[in-house]
Amino acid sequence: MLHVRTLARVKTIERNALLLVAAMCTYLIVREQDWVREGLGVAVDIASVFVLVLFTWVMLSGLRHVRALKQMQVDRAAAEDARDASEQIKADFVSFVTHQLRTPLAGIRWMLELAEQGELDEETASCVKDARLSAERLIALVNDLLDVARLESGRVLTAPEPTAIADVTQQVLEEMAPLAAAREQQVIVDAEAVPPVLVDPQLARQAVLNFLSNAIKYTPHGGSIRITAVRDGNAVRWSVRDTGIGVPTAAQPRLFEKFFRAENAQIVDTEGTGLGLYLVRLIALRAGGSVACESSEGEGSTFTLTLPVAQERKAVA
Amino acid sequence: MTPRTILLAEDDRFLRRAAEVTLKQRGFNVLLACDGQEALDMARAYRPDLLLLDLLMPRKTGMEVLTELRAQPGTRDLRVLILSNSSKELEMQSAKTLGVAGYWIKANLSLKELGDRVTALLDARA
Repeated sequence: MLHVRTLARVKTIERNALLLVAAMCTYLIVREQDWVREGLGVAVDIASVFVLVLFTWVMLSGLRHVRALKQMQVDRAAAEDARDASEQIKADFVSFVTHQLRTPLAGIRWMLELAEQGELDEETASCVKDARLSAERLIALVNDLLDVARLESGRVLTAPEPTAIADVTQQVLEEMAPLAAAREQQVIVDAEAVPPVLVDPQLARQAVLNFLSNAIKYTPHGGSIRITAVRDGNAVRWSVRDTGIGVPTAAQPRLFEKFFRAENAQIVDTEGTGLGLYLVRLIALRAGGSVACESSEGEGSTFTLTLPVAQERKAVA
Repeated sequence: MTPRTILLAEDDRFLRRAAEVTLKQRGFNVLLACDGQEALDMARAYRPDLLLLDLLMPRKTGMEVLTELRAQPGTRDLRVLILSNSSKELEMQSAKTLGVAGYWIKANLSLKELGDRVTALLDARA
């Protein structure tokens, strides 16, 4: 199937060739008329030679051009096939590796959990617990890598639907409540009055979770976190503001990059993967939205997720 | 009250052992299958209250087992819960179509959560 532009060019060349043949025929006919021969004499024969040579040259050029265009098209199709094949290979690899890593990791985690049930002295119990937490961290890393690979590939199936961001926030808050309480942090939410956004609810949950867990993690004991959502034209801006360590100015442009971690963040948490914010950005872009960060080092940060409002469908009779 | 019976189909011996211990601790009667064919045979023979089904197993895959169970009148309504480490969307969709009580990723569950959830599932049964 030829690309539209190439098809148009081939058609133009074919049309020009036809015009040229018609002109040539006309010339040949006119040339044979007695009045032309008598009037112009030898000049007509000389002109004929030039015309013939020109005609042949133009026709051959045209043919070469068409052949080159068709080859270009074949090459382009082959490149697309190669790219699709490599995407498939990558997807299969990621699937396989995820599964293969998860199985022994689950084994380690579960076995350590069983060991913790036994009678252990304090030190051993502590070691076993730390080993289990390490295993859980690895499992979380595998999950993050899987999410990243899937979102990066253009082929992942997402199911966007009208989603109430306030409900998603509530669910995530319930999960994170114990953690915030342990850090004696105050969390305030004001996200009711916005329309539903068009996003895959699982991905929305992931994005909210990542922003919120960062806010909790990088805000000291006794700090406060405020979540708001406002309508902005055809979009909803959902923001988390914290009183945490903030983001240094130099780090701000790179914050949503894959694997990037700001230096002050690395001091607070040596275990982070640098994938959390990158994932939120991928999710936002996939939904047709965006992410942003405003921050002052040492004072706090405001992270914003902007998502498009779900257009109301007309009711079907 | 007679203890309920769970058939656990899992080819990895560590996961199998850990899950067996946990479920027994919760008071369930636990049967073990180490591959797909064994799982199918035992499901037909014992009609457990719940089948915990791994997907990647030797001899028959979890999907093949599920398909065959659903094709027979005797086991069509058998309660099945997928316990997998694969997040392949295709598999999740197929499982949903065949009818399962859930699709859980083993690595994302602690043993405690596994026990809690299975208990909740079987307790909620009418």
